[in-house]
Amino acid sequence: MPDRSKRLDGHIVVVTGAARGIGAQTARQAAAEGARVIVSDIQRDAGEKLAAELPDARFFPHDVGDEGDWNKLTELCRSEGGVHGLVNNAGIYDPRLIEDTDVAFFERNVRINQLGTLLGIQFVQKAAPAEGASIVNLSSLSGLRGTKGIAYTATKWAVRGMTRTAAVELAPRKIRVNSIHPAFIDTPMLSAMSRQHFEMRQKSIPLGRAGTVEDVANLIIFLLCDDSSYITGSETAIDGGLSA
Amino acid sequence: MPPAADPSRIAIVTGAARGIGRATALRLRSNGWSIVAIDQSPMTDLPDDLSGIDEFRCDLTDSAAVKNVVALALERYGRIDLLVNNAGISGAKPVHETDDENLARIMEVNFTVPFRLSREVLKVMQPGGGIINVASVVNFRATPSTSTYTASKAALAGLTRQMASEYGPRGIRCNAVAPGLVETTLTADKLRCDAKFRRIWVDGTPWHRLGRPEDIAAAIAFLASPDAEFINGHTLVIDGGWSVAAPAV
Repeated sequence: MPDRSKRLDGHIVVVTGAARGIGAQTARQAAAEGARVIVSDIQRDAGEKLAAELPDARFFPHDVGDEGDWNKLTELCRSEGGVHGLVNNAGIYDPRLIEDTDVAFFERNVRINQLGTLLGIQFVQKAAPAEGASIVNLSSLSGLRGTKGIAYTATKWAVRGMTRTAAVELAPRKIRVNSIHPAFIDTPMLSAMSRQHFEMRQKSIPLGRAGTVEDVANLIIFLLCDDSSYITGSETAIDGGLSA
Repeated sequence: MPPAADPSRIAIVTGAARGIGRATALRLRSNGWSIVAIDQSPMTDLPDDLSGIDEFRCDLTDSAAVKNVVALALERYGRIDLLVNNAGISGAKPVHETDDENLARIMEVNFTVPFRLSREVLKVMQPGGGIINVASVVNFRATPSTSTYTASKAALAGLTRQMASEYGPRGIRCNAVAPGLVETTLTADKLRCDAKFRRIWVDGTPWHRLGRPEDIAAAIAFLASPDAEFINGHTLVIDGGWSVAAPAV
């Protein structure tokens, strides 16, 4: 079936937060499409284990809020011909009420989810080859609506906006930038939500099920490859129709 | 030679003679779909091998045509798995210059016909089926003179979201694509002659080019595929960044 083939053949693709969840599945599928994947994560054990399973992949220990780490990654990718794809997926999710959101917690969310995305965009700007690159930023339903967890919401709306500015500014470098907005994807991150709450909310999804990591990875691969070569500055909801 | 068609992938594509519709018909076929290609005129630049493309020639604004076309497709194939509402017309003017005939015509072709086709198809579509509507970026960012065109495409995008919410529980996904300006013989001429047009659509697009029919077809094919099974009620913008950019000066 021609829907899938080696669409990322030979491309260097960095996936942050790739030790588990959406990141891990994206890394697997990118590798299956021929990419040379850099599995980036702060979790060493899981990240190294995944990289060892994939053909032509490697693990990169990564705190996405740390400029030094991104500089190392820039050097690494430049020495290998440049980065063709970046999935800014690393993030934290802890939906505290406003009254429970202290400054330190808010800043931690900003550092990982928002600053991490900025540093990733700058990394691609420095390390992309002449033929360009594609950046996929993980936003969320929380970047379309006002869901519980004001710190998370703030960072996901920020990622949506940053995506648009970056799309305009990096177009001359042939770098595309798009955000995706998943909701109710069955991953370890969702353990922050109670199972009861999850099952209750699942009923309001028109397609009647939670999303899978495969669903999201499929969309990310589409946005990384040439089939989406005229798509930039876009935001794609992947939520079974919840945001409709 | 296209691959053997999957008998559970029957797609109706309207406006399939040229442009986005034609590119979509061909791209879907290369992904294993069988195409019922609807248009008033024959497909331009016919591929050498027409297997998997069944041309129905009719005017969908004719009151009986919509029902007849769906009934015929159902009779011939036993099922309809995808409807791509692509047929549409331009020719809009500023509001104060728009007569009732222009208003009615553009709303009918761009919105009412897709609505009627969706109605007939939704009566018979099985779980796993879908509808993809071709809307436009002018729903997100205004352009001169496009009064009824903008309204009709916004109506279509709104309908898409509502249908997605309503029919999602039946296992039917409804999505839209919002192309920016796409290369056609008409737009190619305008680009050559009209500097203001060029400034809006080329200089004002971060990607500095118009869309190609294949760009839109690729996105439609993605949305139609199992890869997009959790995407529902979404309008996918394919515009080289035009709708998120500031106007060119």
